[in-house]
Amino acid sequence: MKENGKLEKSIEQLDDRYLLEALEYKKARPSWKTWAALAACICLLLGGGWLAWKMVSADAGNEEMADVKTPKVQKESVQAETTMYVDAHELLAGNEGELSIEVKKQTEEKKTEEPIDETDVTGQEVTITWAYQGIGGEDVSYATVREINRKLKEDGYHFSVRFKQIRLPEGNYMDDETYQEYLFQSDADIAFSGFHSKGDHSVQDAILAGKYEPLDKYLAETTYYAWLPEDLWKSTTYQGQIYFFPNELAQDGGPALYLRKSSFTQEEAESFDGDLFSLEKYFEEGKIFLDASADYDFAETFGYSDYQSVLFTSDGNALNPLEEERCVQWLRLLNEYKAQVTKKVAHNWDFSLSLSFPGTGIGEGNRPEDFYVYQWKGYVIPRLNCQTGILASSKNKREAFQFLRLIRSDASYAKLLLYGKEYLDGTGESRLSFANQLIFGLDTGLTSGQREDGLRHFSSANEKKAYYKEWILASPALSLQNPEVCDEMNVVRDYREQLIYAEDFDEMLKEAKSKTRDPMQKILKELKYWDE
Amino acid sequence: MEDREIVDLFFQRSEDAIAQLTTKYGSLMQRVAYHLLQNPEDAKECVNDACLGTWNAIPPARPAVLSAYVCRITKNLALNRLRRKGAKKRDAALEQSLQELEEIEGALPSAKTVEEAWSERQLTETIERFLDGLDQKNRVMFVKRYWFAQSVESIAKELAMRENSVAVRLSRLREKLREYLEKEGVWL
Repeated sequence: MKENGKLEKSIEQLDDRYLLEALEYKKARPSWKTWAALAACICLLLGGGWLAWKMVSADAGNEEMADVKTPKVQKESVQAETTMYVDAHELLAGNEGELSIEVKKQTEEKKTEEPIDETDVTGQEVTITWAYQGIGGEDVSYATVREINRKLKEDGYHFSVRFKQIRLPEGNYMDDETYQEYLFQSDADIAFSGFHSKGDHSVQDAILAGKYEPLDKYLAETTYYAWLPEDLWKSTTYQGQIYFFPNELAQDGGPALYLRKSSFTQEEAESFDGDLFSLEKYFEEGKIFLDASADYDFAETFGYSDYQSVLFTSDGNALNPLEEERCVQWLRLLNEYKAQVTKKVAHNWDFSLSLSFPGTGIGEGNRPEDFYVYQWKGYVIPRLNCQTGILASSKNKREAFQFLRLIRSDASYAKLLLYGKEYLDGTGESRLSFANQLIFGLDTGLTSGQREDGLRHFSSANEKKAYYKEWILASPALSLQNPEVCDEMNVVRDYREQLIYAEDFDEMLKEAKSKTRDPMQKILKELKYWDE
Repeated sequence: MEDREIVDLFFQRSEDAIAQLTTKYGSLMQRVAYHLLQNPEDAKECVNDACLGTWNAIPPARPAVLSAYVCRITKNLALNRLRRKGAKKRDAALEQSLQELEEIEGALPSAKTVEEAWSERQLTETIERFLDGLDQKNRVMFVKRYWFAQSVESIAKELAMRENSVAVRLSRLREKLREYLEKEGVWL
């Protein structure tokens, strides 16, 4: 006996709060969480680098990257006139009308910039299109594109490049899945895989659907694989194949404690032995700034690798952070002092636990040299989002690979894309931004000489590998089949954050444990190692 | 006007209550009705009926969430209207969403006795726990589809997503719900 329609009737009786939530839910907009995540990435980008600078500067000698041969791209001097791609078309989506795929052409500054004309074109036999997710603010100037293409021609390459920004009008942030849909409709060769800051598994789905080209066979033909630590390659490996050039941001540093020199003595700084709980005495004095990223990265200070909101022990065991005593204790402590915890980058904090240096770019008195630093080791974890790969639909895969390798191994090209031609010429502002670094996934080792940018720099591939060997560990999660438990992960992660700000910590912890029980079981069930 | 003040007007039997209700929630009620009826005239009539229904229900009822309350009344009236018209006239989106739920039901074990079968209330509580475990976007999508009976196209527009993405997500949600209900030992 089965009574039909029971599920429907039961759903009809759902509590009002679900209906209200559905009624009040607004369409995808750049939420504070999205921007917080992006801001965290910016901090990672800007701050992480400084740490390495501090650590490696003593022995960052003059060893050039000569220990790994500079890849030589076969030069073909076939030149053909093509126009630089400047086009835009609009598509309807959503009830507000226009979504547009825009080639960069509509920014304010374009009005003052000389347009590309036929004489500027260095496009050749092949034109590679590099598509990325626009978030507003990032840009590659025409002058820069023109210069990159001029260099390509001068250096004898048989291809030119154009950049295609996929975004909503007015610079609005585009939903990750929508970006991906548009990306796969486009004619792009090189593609940014998308932010996917909420951790969905769209990139895995796209790989399974054959949208991305495996890079293994191209890498096998070059020496480029040897430029990067092997664990980084593992971070972009899915089902046994490498799909992306790994982005080092957020992979190349663990959390760090920053103590303002004017508020702490050297003795105080040196007496810190890595025990987070010994910081409580400073909480009393109201001297805390908690960076957004530290909400869920503090577990690394306890020696865990945090992946998918699961704590991995060095021997590969997995734990629920809300069942781990020290994690809960730390959250409780932060909650107790939540009035002194802030996510706003400001001048008036005296110490910070953060994945990155939180003071970059906010003025006098917040320079890296104003702080003592204690650093923990970091972990490389699997990451398919925020990466750069080649679309399987590309007709220019080999050229796309050549260009990606070039841009990541030749400093003159990398600097152009990272800072912009105008900055390098001394005629304009640096275009260094989150987007230029994260979206283009450049190797920051190539950009030394611009150290004011706060990026992590290495003067050789070996130096980079030595740094990774000492400071960056391989997460056991690298050996996992990528689990598709993103929704569950978000439930756990949200509670970890809410616990810090809860009015009643114990009540919230009780709720969190109850509500995360099933998601955690699902996550743990899905975590399987490749060799199992 | 605040919901509480509108409810007070109903309690005072002020005719202004209907006017204020319509001003604040008329378009919402219209949307709920239209999703089910797919006919603007029918939807308009349904909203008028729902206003009258609300007038008759308050007092004695004092709804905590007025918007959800009027949505329920509107939905029930729209469903009654559909029943009167006959199943063949039912909207494709509603049909589709009901069929999707029936597929889940079909995959769940049958109770051998009435006592063994779960009550609707038990089932509702279990579904609510399931929804609590989802992230907000998925939860909203689920409710829009299976409570408001919205079409995939309409949900995609409201959430600024591609239709295909919504369809894929809903499919995953159904699978998750089925797994969850199975794990909880639901018998129908």
